[in-house]
Amino acid sequence: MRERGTPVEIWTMGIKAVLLSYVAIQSYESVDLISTWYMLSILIYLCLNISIHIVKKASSKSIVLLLAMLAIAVSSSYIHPLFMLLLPLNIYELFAIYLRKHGLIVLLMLAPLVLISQYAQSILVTYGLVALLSFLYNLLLHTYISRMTDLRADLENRHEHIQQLTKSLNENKEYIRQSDYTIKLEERNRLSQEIHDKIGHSMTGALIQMEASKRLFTSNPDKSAELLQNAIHISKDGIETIRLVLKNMKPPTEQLGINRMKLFIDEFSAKQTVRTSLTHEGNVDSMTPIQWKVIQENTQEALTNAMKYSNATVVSIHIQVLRTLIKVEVSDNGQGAQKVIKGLGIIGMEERAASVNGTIIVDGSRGFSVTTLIPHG
Amino acid sequence: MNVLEVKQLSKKFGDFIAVDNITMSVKEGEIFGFLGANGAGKSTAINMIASLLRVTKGEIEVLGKNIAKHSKFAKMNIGIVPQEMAIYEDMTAYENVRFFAGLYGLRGAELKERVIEALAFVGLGDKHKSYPKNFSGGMKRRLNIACAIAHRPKLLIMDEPTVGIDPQSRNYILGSVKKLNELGCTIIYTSHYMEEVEEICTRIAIIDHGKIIAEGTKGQLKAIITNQKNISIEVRSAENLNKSKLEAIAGVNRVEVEDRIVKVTSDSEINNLNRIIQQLMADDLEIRAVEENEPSLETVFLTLTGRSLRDQ
Amino acid sequence: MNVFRIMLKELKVIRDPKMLLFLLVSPLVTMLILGTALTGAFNGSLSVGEINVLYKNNSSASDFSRYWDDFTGQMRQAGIKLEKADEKTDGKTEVKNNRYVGYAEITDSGLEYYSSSQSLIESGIAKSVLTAFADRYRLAAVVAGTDSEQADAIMSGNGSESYVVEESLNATRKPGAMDYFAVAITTMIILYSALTAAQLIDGERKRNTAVRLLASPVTKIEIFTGKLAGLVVLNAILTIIVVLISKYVFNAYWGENLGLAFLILFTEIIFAVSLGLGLSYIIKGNASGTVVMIIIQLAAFLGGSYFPVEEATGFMGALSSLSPLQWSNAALLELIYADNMSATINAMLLNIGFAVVLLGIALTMMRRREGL
Repeated sequence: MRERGTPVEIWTMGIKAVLLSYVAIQSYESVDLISTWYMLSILIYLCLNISIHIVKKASSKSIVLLLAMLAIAVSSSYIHPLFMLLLPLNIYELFAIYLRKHGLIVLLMLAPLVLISQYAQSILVTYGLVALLSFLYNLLLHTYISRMTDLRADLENRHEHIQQLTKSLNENKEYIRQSDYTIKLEERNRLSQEIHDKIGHSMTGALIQMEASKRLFTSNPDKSAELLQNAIHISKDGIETIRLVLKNMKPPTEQLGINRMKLFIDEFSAKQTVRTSLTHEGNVDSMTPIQWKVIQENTQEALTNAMKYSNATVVSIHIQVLRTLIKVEVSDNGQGAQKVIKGLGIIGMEERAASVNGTIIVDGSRGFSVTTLIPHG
Repeated sequence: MNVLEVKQLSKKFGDFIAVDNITMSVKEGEIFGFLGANGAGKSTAINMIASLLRVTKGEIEVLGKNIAKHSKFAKMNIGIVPQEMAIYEDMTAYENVRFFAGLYGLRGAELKERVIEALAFVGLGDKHKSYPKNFSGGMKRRLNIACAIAHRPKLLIMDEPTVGIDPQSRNYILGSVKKLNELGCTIIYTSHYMEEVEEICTRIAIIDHGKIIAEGTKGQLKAIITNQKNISIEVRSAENLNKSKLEAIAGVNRVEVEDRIVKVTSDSEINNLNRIIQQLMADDLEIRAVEENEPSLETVFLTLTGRSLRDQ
Repeated sequence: MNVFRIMLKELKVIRDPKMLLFLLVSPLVTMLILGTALTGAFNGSLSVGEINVLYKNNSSASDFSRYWDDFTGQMRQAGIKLEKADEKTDGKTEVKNNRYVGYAEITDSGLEYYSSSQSLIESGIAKSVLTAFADRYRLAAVVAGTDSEQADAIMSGNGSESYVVEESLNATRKPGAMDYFAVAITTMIILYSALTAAQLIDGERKRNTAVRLLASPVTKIEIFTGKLAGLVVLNAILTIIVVLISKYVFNAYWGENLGLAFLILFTEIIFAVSLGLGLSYIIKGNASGTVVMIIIQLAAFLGGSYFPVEEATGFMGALSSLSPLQWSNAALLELIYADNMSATINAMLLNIGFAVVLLGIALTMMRRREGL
């Protein structure tokens, strides 16, 4: 739906106004007496040409156009031949509804020349000029409008395309994130299996050796000492393995949840001049990695926006985990915006939030704030 | 059938998005509350439903029919009580209602009957011949409502119908709203007064910056924040308290005693106050005061939108 | 039906006594004040004095002398004194000295007339009477060849064919101050309805009742038409009352053709209402009221509501012809005092034509707009 007036109408009305003033001035100079009938025909012309734009149906439009042409014909033959000059535009308008070929229309616009050559030779040349100029004007307008429409449609398509791409990108990212997580789980699984298999077995081996050493302690002390030494070796290796495995398995705490967020915020404030603060309430541990990911990316976007536009000196991030909702608010003390206009950044955040059934609230009334709401639990 | 069905509704004013992709439905017999700060998009959404504004994007269905295609049908079945007084001061109360009801195709004896009925309904039965310019704020508000109900709409939209009036008139209006609802009228209600919404609405949507950020019954909305309620019972002496029996009551999660106050934390969805009190009485504790603290809608609103409804 | 309901609602304004008083009393009082205060400015009571014409009869035709004597007799009764000059007198000098308003010299070849440049009106009257005589004589001379009785009849003339019947020469039929202002103030007060019209739709918006109207199953066009019709009917009623009061109480002269006068006024109402409405759509907000007010004041000033502009020439004349009131005023005066219909049709066509254009604009803008 177009909220603003279509420019086509304004352009057509413009050329009509120009022609009408030409006709009025010319005929005034040639007759220098404006009769009532003259005024009346101009008024009728105005009425009909305004109503063309009021009626919507093509059929009623044609009727109005026919009436307008009739009025022009009558007034040009009875009142002043110059009125004829107003005809070509209406001919174009009428036939443009039905005919695709512009060549035909220009012929129709020139057709009245035959009549004029017999009855009103004085305006023959002028009519030809006006008809051709009107035709070119309309052709130009038509080309320009259709190109505009095409471009607009194209733009809309592209926009939709971008949105789809953003969406699938987010979904893909999500998929990567998910599979990442699954891989990690598998890895952990494998590790614990390894611990169980390797360390478990070596410990059992050490235990058996020690058991044997205990039996041989009195009968064969030397053999016993050897077995014991063996057990000690096995145990040492075992402990080493445990340490190694544990070190490999346990993900570093700074890679997870709120800590990762803290790290990110610290990095950000180290690079930028604004002061940042991160606060949280509720059970942040219950949040899933996907949620963290969305939140972190949105926070990043919001911080970037704040740096770009707000002139803020303080940016605060507050994470609140409610019972069935997570609320993350990134707000600054900058100039804000009376009217928030959705740019690609906000749309991106919206898309990300939507991927976990959440929404974004952007407020510019008290500084600038972006709130991400994600259902949870 | 849903009385109202809104699908992905948006409204743009130039670059500004007043209503952003909202989807919601109102079932028959509901009193549906719209909570939101000024400029949150409530009125814009309502005005689109009442065909006062063009829809930028999305669909609205009233009683299963698209309002763009069945505009007359939708309008016949909707009544609107605008936020501002929309009455002619130079016409009597009776004439005001008759004029507006007449626009809905009511004629003759039926028209007269409905007008009288509507005026009586809002308690202006004895003011037929009075001019609204001599009315108090509350009476004008009531006339404003009468003008919207004389044609018996299936869906009544009330935009802040109680702004700036005395408590008595407000109670009367709230009573009328409930009565209308009982008579089968589905109602969409917006208000700044949280307690009104809490009192009469069966379902509530919180709207902020053109988006519905939460929707559900009072309980559901409160449960977003917490499902716990705190009951504080002041007793004369808590010595005889049988803590384990109290904890055994369904829903009770924790019992703490502070001096002479017994603090019980319980699931807010379970109504167990009676049983708790009975248990305390069985233990022969003299109850002095009972206070139940549930998160209010105000808290929910404040938490979700970061501002209070009142601080406009 | 809905249109009718909305129209009836608009008419309820009449019940407000203050409003009614304002709408009815203000034009009547203005009429009374201007009509009595400015009496002197109008020459309606100025009578033409005795008209003395000098003549010399050099004709040889006996018939002619008979007819001429007859004619001078008739003219004396009408206040035109035809005096025979003696041979010595130089008629032209006498006229130059302003002793006579004209000098006629009759020869066989025709009648020559010298008119005074000082008393134009009197001389003009004499000239037209003499021309009429000459014409008749020429006719009679032709007829006399076949039927002398007929010729006598032509020359003596009966009641209806008297030489002095032209009503425009009758002093009582020139507009007096009250007659003039009855017309001018009525047309002006009609133009004031543009002010109400400018508030017509905006008023509904301000009272928020536009919301209810739009929410009801009534189309915008119906609302528009109903309100417009209400205003037109209201003003038509008021105009009729004002005209009738001015006619019967103030004794203002409204001519023989009252129906046609009302028709002109009615088209002016439609024009005024469309003007206000059109401008209220073109210029948004309160500015439209101010613009309409300025237009009304200019139109009233230039269109002759406060003083007659018929004789205005040059720049002022050009300006006054731009005033929409001028068409209606001129048409009404022509209709009342000259029974001239062409100006009437002119004015009606102009009023309706402009109304249609303005309403067209208003309707187009309304369709575009959200709300009313």
